Amino acid sequence: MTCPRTESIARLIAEDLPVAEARALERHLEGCPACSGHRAAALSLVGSIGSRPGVEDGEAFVRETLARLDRPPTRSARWRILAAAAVVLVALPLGYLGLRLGSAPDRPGTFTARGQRPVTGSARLRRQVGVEPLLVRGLDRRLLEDGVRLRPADALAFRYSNLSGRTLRLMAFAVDASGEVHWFYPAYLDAGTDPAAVPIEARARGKLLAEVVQPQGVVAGRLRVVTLVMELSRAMTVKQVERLLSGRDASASLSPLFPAAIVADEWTVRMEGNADGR
Amino acid sequence: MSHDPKVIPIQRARVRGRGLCERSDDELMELAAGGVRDAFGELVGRYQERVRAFCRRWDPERGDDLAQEAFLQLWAARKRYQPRGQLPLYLFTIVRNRCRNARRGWFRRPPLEPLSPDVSALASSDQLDAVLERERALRVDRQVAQLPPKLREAVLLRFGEEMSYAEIASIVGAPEATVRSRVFNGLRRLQEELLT
Repeated sequence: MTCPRTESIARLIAEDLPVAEARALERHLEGCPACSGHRAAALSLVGSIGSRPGVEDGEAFVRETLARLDRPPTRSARWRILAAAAVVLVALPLGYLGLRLGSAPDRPGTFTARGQRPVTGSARLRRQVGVEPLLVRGLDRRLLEDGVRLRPADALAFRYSNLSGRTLRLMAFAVDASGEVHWFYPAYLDAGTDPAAVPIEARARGKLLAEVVQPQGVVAGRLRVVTLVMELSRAMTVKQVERLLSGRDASASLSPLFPAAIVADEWTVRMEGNADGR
Repeated sequence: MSHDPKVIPIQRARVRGRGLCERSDDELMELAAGGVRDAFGELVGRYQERVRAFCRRWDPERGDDLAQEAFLQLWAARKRYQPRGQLPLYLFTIVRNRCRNARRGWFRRPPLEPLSPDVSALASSDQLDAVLERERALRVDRQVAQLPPKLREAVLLRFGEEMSYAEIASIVGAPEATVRSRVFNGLRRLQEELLT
């Protein structure tokens, strides 16, 4: 059922009709199911705009805002871009010169092409934050790379840089071939607790998180190491992550499971078996 | 108030035993102008939900950042604020300008992302209604975020903040009739996208 006057409903709701026309339309609405249905739908739409779902963690927002009062005002995005462009213009010729002279260090393995992994998360956060897992084997420490074989005695550490200018939150864990989740950050030692992602402060130079963690009881086979970076206001807890991972094994990429605003990175490695055959 | 705002308001607050939460917006701004951070924190807490909701609908990716930047601008302007009982108008003028300026960035924003996904709700199978309602709200928010800026701000201030046309006109610097027309056009576009 249609009615030519339904087009005026939006104007009525927006109070954009002359009084006489508005009254006439109100009278028409009483006897026109098409128009009254249309108005109900439009009012529902307006009500949806008026609701405010999902604005969570107000106290954290207040704390973070107050913490930013002391920081010097950030330059505009335009100036940041110009500054970055100037750095690139200066650095490129110098870098080229350095390579030509053979003075630039050749360290394959210390750079990871991020584009080779599934790209998820906020593009802005992704530009500002980097997290690198490090494989700790005895006294040796090196970047974790896809495909590497982990030994049961190996441990992992994590290094991050955070250029966002504010404190963010980090989680790091691994999912073994059986689907068991092994937590690095936050520490998850008591099943009765539900710790949240740990804070990572703004820091331009890479910072190593304090603990080196050796996961226990990892099943031999594929092991996915996952890092998540999120805004303070979107900080997840261990149990929220585990609910998302529930029933998943490590055969498929885990990054797409996480909300789009979270920067998720993952590395796929292989766990060697224990001496007892696990 | 004729006294030195750096000292006396704090003392009075203590003497009278009035908590910050009982104070008016203008009193809190005056205390903030005197350097009382807790007063400003009370204001942020009082308005953060409205401001964040507006900013998230304006730009789902940068919403909370924009909201925080708007509050920082309010803090920077605290000594210029004239206590006339119109802090919401003052604040939302800052918020609106911050959001509008953010759109002038050099880079195009990436595609829209969901607004603050509530993971625990999504993981719970017995809350289907809540999930469906949330999906619907997300669809509405996405369409609102795609409206042209002039229509978007008019729709958000009118239906999101329930402001009068006079207040919206003051914030956006346009005649009331123009604002009414923008609200109508914005609503019509949303109806075309969501109800047809």
